[in-house]
Amino acid sequence: MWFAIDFSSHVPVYQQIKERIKSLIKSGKLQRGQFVPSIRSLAEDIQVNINTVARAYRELVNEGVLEPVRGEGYIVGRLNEEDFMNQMIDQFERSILQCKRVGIDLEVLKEKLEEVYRRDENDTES
Amino acid sequence: MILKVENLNKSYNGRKAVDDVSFEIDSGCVFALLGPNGAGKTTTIKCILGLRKPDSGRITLNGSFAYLPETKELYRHLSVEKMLRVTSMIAKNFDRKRAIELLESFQIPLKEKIANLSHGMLTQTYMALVLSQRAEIYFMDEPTWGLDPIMRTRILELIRELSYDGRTVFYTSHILAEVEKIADIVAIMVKGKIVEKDYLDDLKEKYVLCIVPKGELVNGFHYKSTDKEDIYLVKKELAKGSVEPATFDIIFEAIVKGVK
Amino acid sequence: MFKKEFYDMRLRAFVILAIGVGLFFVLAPFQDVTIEMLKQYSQIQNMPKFLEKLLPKSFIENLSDWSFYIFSQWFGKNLGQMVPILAIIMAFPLFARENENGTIEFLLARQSRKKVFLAKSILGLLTVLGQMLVFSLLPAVYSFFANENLKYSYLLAFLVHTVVGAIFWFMVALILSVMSADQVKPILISFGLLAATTAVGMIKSFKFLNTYTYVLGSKIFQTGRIDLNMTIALFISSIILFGLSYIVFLKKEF
Repeated sequence: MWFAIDFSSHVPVYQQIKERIKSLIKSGKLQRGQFVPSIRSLAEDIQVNINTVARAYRELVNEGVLEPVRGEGYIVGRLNEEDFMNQMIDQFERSILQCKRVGIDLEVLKEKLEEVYRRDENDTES
Repeated sequence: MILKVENLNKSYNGRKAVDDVSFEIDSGCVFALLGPNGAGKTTTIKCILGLRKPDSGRITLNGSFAYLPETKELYRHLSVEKMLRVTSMIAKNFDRKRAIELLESFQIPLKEKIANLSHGMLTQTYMALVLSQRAEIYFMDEPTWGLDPIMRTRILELIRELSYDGRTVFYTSHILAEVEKIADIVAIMVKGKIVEKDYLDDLKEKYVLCIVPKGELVNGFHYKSTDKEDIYLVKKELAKGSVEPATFDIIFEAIVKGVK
Repeated sequence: MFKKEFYDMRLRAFVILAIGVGLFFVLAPFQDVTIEMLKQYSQIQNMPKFLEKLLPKSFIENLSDWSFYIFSQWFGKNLGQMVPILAIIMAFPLFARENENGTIEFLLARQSRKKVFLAKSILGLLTVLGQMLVFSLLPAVYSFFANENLKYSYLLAFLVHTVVGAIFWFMVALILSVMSADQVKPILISFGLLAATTAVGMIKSFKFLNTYTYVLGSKIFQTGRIDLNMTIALFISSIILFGLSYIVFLKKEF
């Protein structure tokens, strides 16, 4: 797989990789469940460092765009955006229940929820 | 962690060449030490390798190394071929076959005397000797200095291949375009001090340019001024006025200029 | 490492060996010619006073004795004069050449300082010792084949003086070679020191400085024995110079 990276751009290289992979998925060139190139082979193809591709893939996994397959590599996430969000909410529900069971107060959780949500919002704004 | 430098100091005749420098390098990464000429890059490498004696500080190097010095000098009276023989006499883990392959790919005539090689060819020959030595970390001081663009790209590819194989690269340069292409982590050295050190991508995210009315004080590196405005390179969270993204060129230039 | 050093110095070593051996064979077979020549000089009527002083009749008679001829003309003259010079020539480029060409970095990036120092200095020293042994033992070998009678007890004394004199000047040039950034300084300073010590040694109270008196073996001619004091002094000085060279090399910046 090949696409051009603009090294002199102010956009970090790993961000460029993320954007390109997302757009390849949107345009249908990469299908759900299909393997994407391994970290190393993509690094060789587009001539960037392994660490940079690894970082892009790591973030794509966190965003649900890619899914790691044990020992084999990465596939395009099988869930669409809506399903992925539902899955996240499920995860959150489970976490809340766990917190309740160990006796964390509802007020503390509410406070925390707002604090974390706001903090991240501010970060991305500035 | 393959290399750790703590509080390294080195002066020549009372002038500080390396001023309290500390950093760490993880194995498998390409680390670029960047800075204008005379910033102390070569002295730092030489202190790490024991060629110069630090005034103070601690250096931990966990693994074997290979070294391409800034001044590329080989035995001038020998032919390239004999130079290979001499290298295999003194170097550990030297792969002569690999060296011949590399030299052939660089189109260096093996029978030629070292003294008759052009500067570029000499650099390539030295590079071939270094790359054919199996080591865990490769120190390269200005590996592309004086090479034509095609050769430079080839050398950069070879450096990147080292990192694909899990080897660590520590290299110095003052050519930004090549650093952007192959470095994971960049340290910017100015007047003996390391002023900034981070992942290249993170540097691009960390800094922005902000444009403020002339005379307004901003906590950052002054980059340039227009008639009515001052332009500063600042960390994102300190930005005020109108903000522009910063390329790596600008980040480097502003930091180097901004150090008093 | 030894291999590389040998590769570097083999030309110098063989040239010096060839010069020494060649010189011996120019000298040894011509005992009769030399004596004839000197006799003719001394038979000149009304010989000038200074020549008579230089060539006392007894000296020429002595020369017809094979042992005296070899010891005075080989050790006491031709070889003896060259010993310090040859030792200096073997030592001066060992480190200075690598310093001058910048190739010392190439070595030190691949071998420890200790190994580099020992390989260079020991191989150089062994080469000089080998050369001196060959030069000193040549008369014995020659005498054996030419059926000449040589006083072997003297030979040993001359051997010791030759070898110790060579070691000393080797070490002087070695430390200069380690310290110097170019090749010219160590050879010039070594020769300068050799000339200066010899000249100052002409003055009576500084006699001990004259290493040539030692290398040429005047004491052996006078007493028939090794000059023990000077041997020990030069030997200890050599060891100190060697140790200092090592320390300087370990601390040096490249």
